[in-house]
Amino acid sequence: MATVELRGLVRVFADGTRVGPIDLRIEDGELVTLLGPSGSGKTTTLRMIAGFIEVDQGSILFDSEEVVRVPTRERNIGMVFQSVALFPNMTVYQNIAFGPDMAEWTHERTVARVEELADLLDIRPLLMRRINEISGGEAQRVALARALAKQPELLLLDEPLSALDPQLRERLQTEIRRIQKKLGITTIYVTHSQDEAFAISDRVAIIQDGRVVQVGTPEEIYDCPANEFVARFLGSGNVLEGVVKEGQQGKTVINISGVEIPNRANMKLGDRLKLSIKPEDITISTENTSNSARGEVISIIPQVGSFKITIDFEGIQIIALTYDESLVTKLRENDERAVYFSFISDSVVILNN
Amino acid sequence: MAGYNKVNIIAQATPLIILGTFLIYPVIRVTVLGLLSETGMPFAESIAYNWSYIEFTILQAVLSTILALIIGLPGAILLARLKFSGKNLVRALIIIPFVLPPIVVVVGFLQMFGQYGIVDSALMWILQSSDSVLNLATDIPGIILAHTFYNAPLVILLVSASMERINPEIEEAADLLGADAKQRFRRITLPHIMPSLIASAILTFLFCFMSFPIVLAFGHGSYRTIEVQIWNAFRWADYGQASSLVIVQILFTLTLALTYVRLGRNEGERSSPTSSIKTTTLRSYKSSEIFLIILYFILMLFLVAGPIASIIRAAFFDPISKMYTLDGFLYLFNTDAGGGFRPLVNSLFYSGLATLLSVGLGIPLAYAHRSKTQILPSLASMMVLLPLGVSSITIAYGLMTAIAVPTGLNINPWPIIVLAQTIIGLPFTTRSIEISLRSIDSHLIDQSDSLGASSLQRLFFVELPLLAPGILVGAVFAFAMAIGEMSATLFIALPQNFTLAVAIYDNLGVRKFVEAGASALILVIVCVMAFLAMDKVSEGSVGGAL
Repeated sequence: MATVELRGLVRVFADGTRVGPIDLRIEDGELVTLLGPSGSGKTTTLRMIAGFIEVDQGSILFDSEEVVRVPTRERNIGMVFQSVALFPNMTVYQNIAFGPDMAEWTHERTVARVEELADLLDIRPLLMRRINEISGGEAQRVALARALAKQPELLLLDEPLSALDPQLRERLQTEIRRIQKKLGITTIYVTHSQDEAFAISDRVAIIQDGRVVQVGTPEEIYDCPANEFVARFLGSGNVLEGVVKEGQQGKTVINISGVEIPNRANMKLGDRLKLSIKPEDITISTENTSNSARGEVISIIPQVGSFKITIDFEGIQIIALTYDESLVTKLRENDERAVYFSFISDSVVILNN
Repeated sequence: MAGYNKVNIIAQATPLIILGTFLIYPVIRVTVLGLLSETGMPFAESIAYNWSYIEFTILQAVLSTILALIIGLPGAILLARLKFSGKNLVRALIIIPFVLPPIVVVVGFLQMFGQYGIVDSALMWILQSSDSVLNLATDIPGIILAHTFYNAPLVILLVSASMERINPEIEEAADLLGADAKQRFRRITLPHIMPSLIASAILTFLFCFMSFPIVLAFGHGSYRTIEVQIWNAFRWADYGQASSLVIVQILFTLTLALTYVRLGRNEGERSSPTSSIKTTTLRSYKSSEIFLIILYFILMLFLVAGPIASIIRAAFFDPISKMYTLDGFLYLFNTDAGGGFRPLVNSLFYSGLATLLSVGLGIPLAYAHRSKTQILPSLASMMVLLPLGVSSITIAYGLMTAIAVPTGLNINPWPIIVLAQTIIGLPFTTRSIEISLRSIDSHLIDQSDSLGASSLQRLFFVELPLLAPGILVGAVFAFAMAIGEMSATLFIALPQNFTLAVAIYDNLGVRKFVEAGASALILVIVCVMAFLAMDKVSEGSVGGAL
């Protein structure tokens, strides 16, 4: 097993697109997800680690050893591809045994390893099938078994579940996580799905325009998005604009849509800034209280255990969550659709620009 | 569906009836003739008498196929893997040999590799010899080289197309799992391209097995294939022998053609990802590899581009008087009995008619392919594929004995020539129409239906305009095939029916080389123009029609 360190990794493509510099450290046995929209450079980063794409600058260290000049087949990496990429001319067994065969393992050792993985992934009955005789979910398990067969030091997963239906995807997520923990293998997972990233990862690295903009546990990132991009991409927060104004007792306050919170960021008078507030931190009410703003209800959508209420405030859409059924009944009866919302200052995250 | 009414079925069945009359019935008749006829040799004796020719037919086809694969495979790999500008141009140019009539290729080969040809002259100059040093355009080397000229490009096209469909992630997976370049080729790439290799090998073998003009011209009568022997036996009025040979040939060719079709079906079923193969620039190769690549390129220039370019020289240079002359072109405007004007007019007239017929039959045939009735689609594909498995000579022989003689058309058999040319070109015409028919968005058709178009209105205002490019490509194919057709035409034609292609063979026989050269140049120009039009219309997807 290994630690992986990316230092100032840069790749510039012929069309001028630039990925990097990327700095990231993945601890031994950790599962880190590269999360970002398509075209953000997460797959490119993964392919540089695998050695499929040349690195223009920077270094990749496996256990502090530089591997940039090491050919792909000597890096001892297992990978599951987006297209699964099983060898169509071979059986399931032959696919899984391909790595050990290339490494010239003894027949007994190969058979033992394939059977061990087949049991781990619950694909033992499939071993003698051809690739066109197994389902999409089964193919993913086989691909994972093939990637793990040679006991690689690092496992790369490039959007492995994107082609599957949501239920199957969720089941396989759990499975991948279980196996990864059991084997304790250092893993880098690429996805554009926040749910998938949060469900599976020890830590998540958010990639934007070829750079890592935030690294942290799912909770850290959800609670404190580093910038507007992250907040919006995660969809976890309402991004609002605030202005620093004169408050009482000579102190400055941040005024967000009429709601005032203390100027924690020590901004200057008149400065404008972006803030993120999670839907569950917004309090709504039919009564006007002192520190609240007035909006109009656009929609009320029941969800599992809560209601999602979309409020229009001067052209900005604000999303709030509530568990209060009587409040919802009141809102529904209110023809004017008027609603008052507020939030406590601790729940507001000031976003860096 | 309302569209599939009686009128529709009749329209789609008509070409089947026509082909039944002019293809199936004649072919069956001549094969039956082989077993029952009183005239000429009986079956067993015919086989014994022709055993050496049957052996030679197989031998030369096997050798040509092996050579075509050996020369084609590196080209296919390079075309798929190497990143270079002008790749699409190269891919388009590689199709040119297919559209060149074999007899024209014979002229090019004689000029390039023949006695006192370009290669020979160069060697004579180097060796300071006054005698011919090397003549490759004759006997077995000539036959096999000319077959390779045709089929190496076929291998390149089919195999590189298959190779480009390899999912690059599959090769990357093998790389990650520790396979080096050789292991990747043997265990991943080769199994992937195997169906296309087998398919191109079958096609090559079929082509060489039924090859007529090339064997006739380079074999000088001492090397004969079954095809040549059928013609000879017919000329000796030994129908028993001719028909016996037809039976032997058809057994071979239909088996292979069916195998090819089955193979193609399997290939089509395999879904391939949209991603395309990884390519690399020349710079990333080792210098020894670059040397080999350049060497290969020069070889291809010699073998494929050389003969084509030599046809130009052949039109002006008389190898007997060793002088440049315009006599060849004067011949083309000579309206006398032995002149070239009559064949030129015949060529244009017959090919024009054959083109019209091909399109007229090809459109309903293409539609019949997707008919909802039980029997029409399979009948249609059988009719279309049959000419691929039945040789030109057999078609001509069948038409002559079953149609021309009973109707008295053998006195002036030009309609038979047109029929033969139509049947031979029909698979290609139908295929290109069918391809564009398949690519029509069915929603568009539904749309016109929902807007209240009748099925005739739909056909004329929606479907045919959408099909126009496919029909045009099909027509151009039919014209190119018909004008270059020599085997069946030579078989059927009386001297007043000679076409340019037949006249070339005739002139070569009496050593009128510039006359043959000039005629060949005209055919090359027509075929290349047809090809360019085709490429323009179909936007570079001509290969699909093969």
